Amino acid sequence: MKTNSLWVLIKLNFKVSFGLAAMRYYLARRDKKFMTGLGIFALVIASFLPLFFLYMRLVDAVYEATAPLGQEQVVLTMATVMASVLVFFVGIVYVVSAFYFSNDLPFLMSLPLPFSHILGGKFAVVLVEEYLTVAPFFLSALWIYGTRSAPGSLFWPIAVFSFLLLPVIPLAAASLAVLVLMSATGLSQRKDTLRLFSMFFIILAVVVLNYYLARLPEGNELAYVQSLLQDPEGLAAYIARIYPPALWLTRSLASAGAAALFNFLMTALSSVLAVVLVLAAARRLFFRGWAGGQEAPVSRLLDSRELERHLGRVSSPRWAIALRELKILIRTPVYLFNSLATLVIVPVILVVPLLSGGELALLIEELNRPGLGGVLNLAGAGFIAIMSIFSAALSSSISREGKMFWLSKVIPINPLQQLQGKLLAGYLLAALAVPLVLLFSAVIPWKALDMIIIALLGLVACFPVLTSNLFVDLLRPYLDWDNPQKAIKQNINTLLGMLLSAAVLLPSILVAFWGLRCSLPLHLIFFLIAGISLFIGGIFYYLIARLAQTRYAKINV
Amino acid sequence: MIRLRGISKSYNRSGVKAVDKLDLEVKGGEIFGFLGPNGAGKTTTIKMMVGLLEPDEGVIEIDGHDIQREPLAAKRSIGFVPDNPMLYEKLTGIEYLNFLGDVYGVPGELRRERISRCLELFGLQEAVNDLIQSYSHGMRQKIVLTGALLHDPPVFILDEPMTGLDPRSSRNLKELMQEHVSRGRTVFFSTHVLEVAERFCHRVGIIHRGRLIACGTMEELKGLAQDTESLENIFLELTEE
Repeated sequence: MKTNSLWVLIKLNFKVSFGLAAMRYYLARRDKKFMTGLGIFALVIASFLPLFFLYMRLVDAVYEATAPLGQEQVVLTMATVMASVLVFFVGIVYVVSAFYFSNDLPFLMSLPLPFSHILGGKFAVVLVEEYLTVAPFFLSALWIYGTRSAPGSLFWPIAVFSFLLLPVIPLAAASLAVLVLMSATGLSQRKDTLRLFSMFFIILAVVVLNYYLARLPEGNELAYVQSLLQDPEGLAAYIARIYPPALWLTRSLASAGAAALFNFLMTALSSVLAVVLVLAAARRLFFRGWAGGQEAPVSRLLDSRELERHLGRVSSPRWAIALRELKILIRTPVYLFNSLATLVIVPVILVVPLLSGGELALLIEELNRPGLGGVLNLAGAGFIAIMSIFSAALSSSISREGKMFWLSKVIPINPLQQLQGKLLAGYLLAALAVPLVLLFSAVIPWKALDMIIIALLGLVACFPVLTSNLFVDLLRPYLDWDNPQKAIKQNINTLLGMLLSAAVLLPSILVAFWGLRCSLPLHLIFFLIAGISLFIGGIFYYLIARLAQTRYAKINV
Repeated sequence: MIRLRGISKSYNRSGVKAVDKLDLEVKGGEIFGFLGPNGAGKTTTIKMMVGLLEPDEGVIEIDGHDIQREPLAAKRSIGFVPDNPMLYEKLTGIEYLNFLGDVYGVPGELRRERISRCLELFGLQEAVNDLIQSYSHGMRQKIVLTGALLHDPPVFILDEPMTGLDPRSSRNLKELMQEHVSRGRTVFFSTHVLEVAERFCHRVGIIHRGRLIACGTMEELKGLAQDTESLENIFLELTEE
């Protein structure tokens, strides 16, 4: 009966999450929107193909370089580790939303079902979503290794099961971390803030740990590298230090006979054990974390002075909309995470490796080399613009309104003004990269004028990124979601926005490189970049202004 | 104040009309009750009146403004309470009200006065500083009501406003509606509670399969049916399949 309820929940979650029933309905009616959606999905996949082929070539090159050493199986280890680390990071956000913020949870919790089965159903859905994350990394490595190394007869059957097992352990690790975190913070007054910081902390801790695990022993680098090259499993074992189960998976695919089966069995057993652990932890920890989120805070009467303070600030409609956007984004962990995570993580990834050995001193010396000033200014501005690519704030800004969009339709504010408010909020978020760049002035000899140029040029270069992202969401907002994660993480607009951002920044980047190569005066390069950015951004702004009224009228909730 | 002329709306390509050539006029100083079975077209009509849906044909005028030609002027004249208010969960009640004050351009002093009055009327003073995500259905309804009245709209449109309200708040709302029309303004609301419509509305309209099958005062409606004992009997007779 109990196992049956788990299976029933998995089926229910699949139907709801992947819209299987809805898909059948739309397909039967040949719904235009659905077909357009499929077309856009195909377009996004197609636009990633060049990147995918580039990755295939990289895997191929690694295979070529390691084959003479007899260590070609390292391509499998590398792909496993990369995919697993990605599953862990992405999984944390997916799991938080699916386990704790799904709209159907209050309903499911009222049914006579064990918590482990409720979360088991959610876990299965996230697992299936993660196959999309791991597929490009792992399948390409399997293909290259499988077609070039003449593996044994067990290779392909094991390969299929390995692919299915690959995300299980990292996702289970992410689930366990989330269950512990949510349970520990469940009773806190400021649980949202605490949870958000803890999520960032877990990710940063893993980044730092990875770095220290992957470091070569200081002083013995040469001898260590030699031992890696001589040992037939040296490179694979070295890479798998970050994620040890990758070695079992590699051995199960690269060995023959009993060794392959034994290692596959190890992978399968550890995956099963990981799931059992998650279900056991769900039984013990889930309710406390979930119930904490359902508790209403203790209400307090506002006195007239406080009411005066709250209501005394009268804002313009644009500013009111920008403030609304920022408040909701900051208070919804999954939104904040997807809009600002890179601003926290990227500097750590850049700084951590420099903190050991003499690398920082060397870098400072290199950065202080005469004649480098202009290039550094361009790099600083580029950093601000590139950071804005990774923010999903504007490419999901209408989608995030979801069913609340009715308010945007009934208020007497012109749609263009509403979009200007959203753009303003997006700009304020993008501007958070400015102080971060300026922090680098501790090691880079920037003067006050340099910093002003960097900030201005960086923010101007953000303009096409922000307007193109807003344009994408205006064209086809995704409003029919039942959990905030779907509005941002499972929203194809955020992916399209990122692709478009890269495309609209490319001309500026090319001009910068071309200008430097031709030794153009720096201020001319700055002006060219600003001009191009304003032109491209202006085109998207013009399109937004043209379409705002009609699009808002056509969007039904 | 409200004028609907030949309004039609059909969903998808099925050809079935949710609202079919609807003509209706509601004057200032009038409380109008809009009745009909489930799926009759009440919410669709209201959504078109407030600008949430575009009619396929026909004209809707709110306080003299065509909702399609002068949407902003028309919307400025409307205070709207939907049947299932989805609100910004991560804003506090007071932030939500302040946001509406900003977008409707309600001056600070007036804003404080009106909000304080409604909060007291609905007993929301203690909850107004909490995030909306912690509100019950009734509290959400009350905060939407407060927001909809913030700019003192000439036309107050409500879709099933009594749902989820406790008896005291329900009575307060009715008094508020009466006070609103006493100043020459208009109230238009849909309801399934026929007793409320019977006792409280100046005129009642019954919509069935997208068509307005009856409209008038209680006395006028009694003339349309054989069993005229109560509005319930009239309603059941007129909407019989």
